[in-house]
Amino acid sequence: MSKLYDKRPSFLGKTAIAGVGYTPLSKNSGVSVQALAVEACRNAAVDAGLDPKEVDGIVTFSMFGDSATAQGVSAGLGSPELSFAADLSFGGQAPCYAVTVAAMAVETGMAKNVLVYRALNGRSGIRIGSTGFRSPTAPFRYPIGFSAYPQYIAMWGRRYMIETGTGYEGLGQVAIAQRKYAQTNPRAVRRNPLTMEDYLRAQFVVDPFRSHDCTSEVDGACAVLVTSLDRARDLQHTPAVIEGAAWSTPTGSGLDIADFFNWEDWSVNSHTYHRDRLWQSAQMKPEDVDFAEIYDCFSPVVLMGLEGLGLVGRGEAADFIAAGETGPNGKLPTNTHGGLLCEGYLHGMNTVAEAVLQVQGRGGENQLEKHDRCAVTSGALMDGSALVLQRDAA
Amino acid sequence: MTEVGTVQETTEQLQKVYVEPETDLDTRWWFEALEQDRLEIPRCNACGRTFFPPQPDCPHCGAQDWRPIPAGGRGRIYSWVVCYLPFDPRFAEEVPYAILAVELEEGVRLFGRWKGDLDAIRADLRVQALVYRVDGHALLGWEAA
Repeated sequence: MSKLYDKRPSFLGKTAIAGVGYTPLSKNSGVSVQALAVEACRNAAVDAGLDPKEVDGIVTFSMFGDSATAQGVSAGLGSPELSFAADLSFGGQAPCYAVTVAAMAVETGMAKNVLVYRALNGRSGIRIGSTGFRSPTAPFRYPIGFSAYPQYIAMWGRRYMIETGTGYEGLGQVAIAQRKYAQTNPRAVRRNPLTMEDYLRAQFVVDPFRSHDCTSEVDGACAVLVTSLDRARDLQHTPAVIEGAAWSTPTGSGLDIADFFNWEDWSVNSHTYHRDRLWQSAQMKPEDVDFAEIYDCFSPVVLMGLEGLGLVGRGEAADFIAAGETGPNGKLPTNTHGGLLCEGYLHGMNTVAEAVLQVQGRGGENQLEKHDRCAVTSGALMDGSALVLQRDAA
Repeated sequence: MTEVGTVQETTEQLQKVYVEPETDLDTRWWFEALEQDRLEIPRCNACGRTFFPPQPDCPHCGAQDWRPIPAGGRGRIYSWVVCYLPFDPRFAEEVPYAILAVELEEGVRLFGRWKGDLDAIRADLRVQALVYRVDGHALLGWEAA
C-alpha cells in the first residue's frame, strides 16, 4: 500500500535521541506555556548531559496557537544562537515527524543539538478536544452538533468496529491494559485500577466512547534532544538510534485535520499507508521490534496503529490485547507508560519520550526486559508519522 | 498573569463559530442550495467523480472544472456516533443525539443529524436526506428511507 523510498534516508542509523525532559503533568500548572516549554527543554538537555547553551536547533508543533514558539524557548534557555528552527502547525501527527525533521537537520549539518518539544496548558487553558476552529469543513460539522475531537474519532472507532467485528469490550481491552501500566508510572494522571465491569459501567461520552476511551487532558510539556549518533555516544545515556522514519499524507487526506469526507476507509489510518516505507527505512520487519508505543488520543487508535504497522493482523488487535500480549510479559508490550489515555495528553510527545526511556533502560518500574527495538507512532487519522528506535549496540 | 486563550475566551470564540454555518467563497453555494431545500454535490467535469466538501479543485484529479449536480438524498449509514456529553453548550438540551455519516448513492459521504429513534440506527441502514432549520439556517438531517 505504501510508496517506498528510492534509498534509505541518510540520517537513519546516524542520528539519535540522547535525552528526555518533562514537566510535571497536572490539571492546572499555574504557569505559562512558555515556562512549561523551557522547563521541559532545559530538562531534556541536562538529562542528555548537555549544557542548554549548546542547543542550536529547536523543532516544535502546536494547534490553535496553544504553545510557545521555538524562538521564545531559545530566549528562555539563555538565548543560544539557533541555526535551525521549525514551528509546525500540526497536531498529534507531529511528534515522530518533528524528531525526523530534527534528525535531518543534524545529518545535513544545519544544527548539532536539536530540541523537540510539545508544551500546552491543555487542561486549564486551550482544550484541544473541545475547541472550535475555523476551517473549510467547519460549517458542515459545527452547526449540526458535530463539534469535538472525541466525536470525530468516535466516528472512525465505530467504523472500525463495523469492519472488524470488534465490540465495546475490544475498546475496553485497550483502556484496561494501559491502565495496568499506568498504575506503576508515577507520571500518569489516571492510575486507579480498571476492570471490564468498571469500564462497561461508565457513561458514554460519545457512543462508542466512554471516558476511559479518551485521553486525559493535562497541562505540561515534554521534550527530547536529537543529535548525531557520534555525539550522543559521548553524552550521558545509551543513545536511542533513529533507525526508521516515515510520514504520510495519503490520497483522500482532505483540506484540514477534521476533513475525512474523502478518506476511503475510516477503520484504517495513516499508519497503514506508511507501513512498508517505515520498515524499509529501518531495514527491519514488524516482528523485529521488542515493543511499541502507539499514539492513543482515543482507544481504537491503538488498534488501528498496531494493525496499520503490521504488528498484528487486520482486526486482531483487540484479541491480541485481551490475551495479554501487550502487557509486560507479552509478545509486544505496548504503551508502557499507560499511553495518553492514562499518562496524559502531551499530544504524543510523551509517547516518543517513553520509547526513548525504555530503549535506554530507564523505564523505572515499568522497564521491559527486552527493550532493544521499538516502533513509535504519531497521529490518529489521515496523516501521521512513525519511527523505529534502536538501542545503540556500541 | 493571563495565558493567551483562556477557557473563557476559547468558549466565546467557539460559540461564535457555532452560531451559524460560517461559509466561505468555496462553500456558500452549497448552503444557499440547501436553504432552498436542494441537496447538491460537486461533480468533476474532467474525471466524472463526485466529491465533498465543495472546494476549488477536484480532490481526485486536481481539475478546476466541476459543477454542482442535484443529489437524490438516498444513501446508507456508513458510521455514526451518539453524543451524550454536550461539548458545545448550545446542544446541552438536545443530548443524546446522533450524527450519521451517510454514503450517498452519488458516491460521497455527508454528515447530518439523525431525526429518528436512536435505537433504530445500524450500519448500512437506508436513509433519506432532509432539511431542518435552526434559527432560520438550513441544516442537513436524515430519516429512515
